Amino acid sequence: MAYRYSFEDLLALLHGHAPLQAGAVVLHRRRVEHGHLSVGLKIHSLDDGRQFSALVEGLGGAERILEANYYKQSCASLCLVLPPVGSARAAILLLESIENFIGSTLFGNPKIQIQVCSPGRLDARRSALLAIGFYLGSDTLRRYTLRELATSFTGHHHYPRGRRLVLYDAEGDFERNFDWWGKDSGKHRFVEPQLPFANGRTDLLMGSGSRLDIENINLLATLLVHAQYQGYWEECGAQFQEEMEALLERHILNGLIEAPWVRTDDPTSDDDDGFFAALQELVAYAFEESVRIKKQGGLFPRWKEIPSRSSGGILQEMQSLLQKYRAELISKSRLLDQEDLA
Amino acid sequence: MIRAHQPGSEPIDIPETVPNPVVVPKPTPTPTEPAPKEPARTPEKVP
Repeated sequence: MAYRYSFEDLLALLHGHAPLQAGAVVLHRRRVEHGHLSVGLKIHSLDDGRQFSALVEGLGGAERILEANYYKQSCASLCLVLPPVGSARAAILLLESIENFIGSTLFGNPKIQIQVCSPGRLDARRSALLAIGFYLGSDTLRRYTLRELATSFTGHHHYPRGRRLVLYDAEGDFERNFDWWGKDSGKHRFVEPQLPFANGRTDLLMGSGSRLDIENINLLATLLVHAQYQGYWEECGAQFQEEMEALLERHILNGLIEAPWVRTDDPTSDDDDGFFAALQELVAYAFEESVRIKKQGGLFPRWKEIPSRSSGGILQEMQSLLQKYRAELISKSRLLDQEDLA
Repeated sequence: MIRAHQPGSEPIDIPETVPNPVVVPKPTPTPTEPAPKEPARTPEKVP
C-alpha cells in the first residue's frame, strides 16, 4: 500500500489532539494479538475531504500524500492510505485518533468509506466467505449499488478489480514485518517475525463501517488466510469454513459462494453482474430476516436468550459463529501463553 | 434512501441501511489514563 510519509510523523501529528489514543497506537503498532493478521486501512472521503486538509498538509501535502496513490473509490475526493498496524485494536485506535484530529467522525459516517486490508490473497471461495461473513456479521445491514463499489481500478489495464466488495492488491508496497503464527511438524506454534507472503492482500471495501466491522473482518481474514496458507490457525479456519458453508446450505444460499465475489486472474470472474446478483440475494435475505426478528421481538422480547440453532435465523447464526471462533482463538492463545510461562 | 417508483403507484422508500437486530451495540470506549502502578512492596523482615 502506497503511503509516502512515516508512521512517526503521523503519530506526532495525532498526538497533539489525541495523546491517549496515539500513545496506545505506538504501544500496539507492531503487536499482533492472539495470532491474528495485521490490519491495513484506507479511508475514502466521498465529500470534498476538506476535514483532512490539515492532516494531509502536516504529512507533506496532497501531491506527496494523496496524488502518489492512483487508487480510490470512484466518487471519492481523496483516499488516505494509513500504515498497517498489528491488530484490529490498533487500527481502531488509529482511526479514533484521526477522528479527534480532523474533528469529524469516521465510523458510521455515510460520507466515509473504510477499506480494510488483510495480508495474503484469499482464493475465490474464501473471498466469498469473507464478504458474506462480513455482511451478515456487521452491526449494519446495507443495500449497495454497483456504482458505490466502483474504484479507479475497476477497469484497470493491468489490475482490473471490477466492482466488488472484495479486492486484491495491485502488487504495490507491502509491509511484511508483522508476526506470523506458524506451526512445526508436531503442530506446535512458532512465531515468525515476518508474514509468509512477500506480497498480496485481500481488501474489503465495506462502505460506512464500524469498529465491530474491523474486528470481524480481521477475525474472518485470519481464519481464512490461516486455512489457506497452513498457519497455526489452519484447523480452526478449516472448521470455520465448513461451519459457514453449512450455515449457508441450511438457508439454501450455498450457491452464492460460486459467484465471482472477487476479480481474480480467471477471466470468468470478470462478471460484475453475476457478483451483484449474488450480493442482492444475500441483502434481500438478510433484510427479510431483520424484519422477521423485529416482528418476533414484539411477541417474544426475550428472544436474545434463545440459544442459537439452525432455526435461529441466519443473522443470529452468523453472530454465534463469530463469537464462537473469536472466543476459541483467544482461549487457545492464552493457553499457549500459559504453557510458555510454565 | 432508494426510491422504488412505478407510474401510478405511491413511491416506496427502501432504507439503504438498517441496524442488524441481533447485534447488541457496544458503548464507544473512552480512553482513560492508566491507573498508577501500585508501589512495590518489600516483604517485612522476619526477625
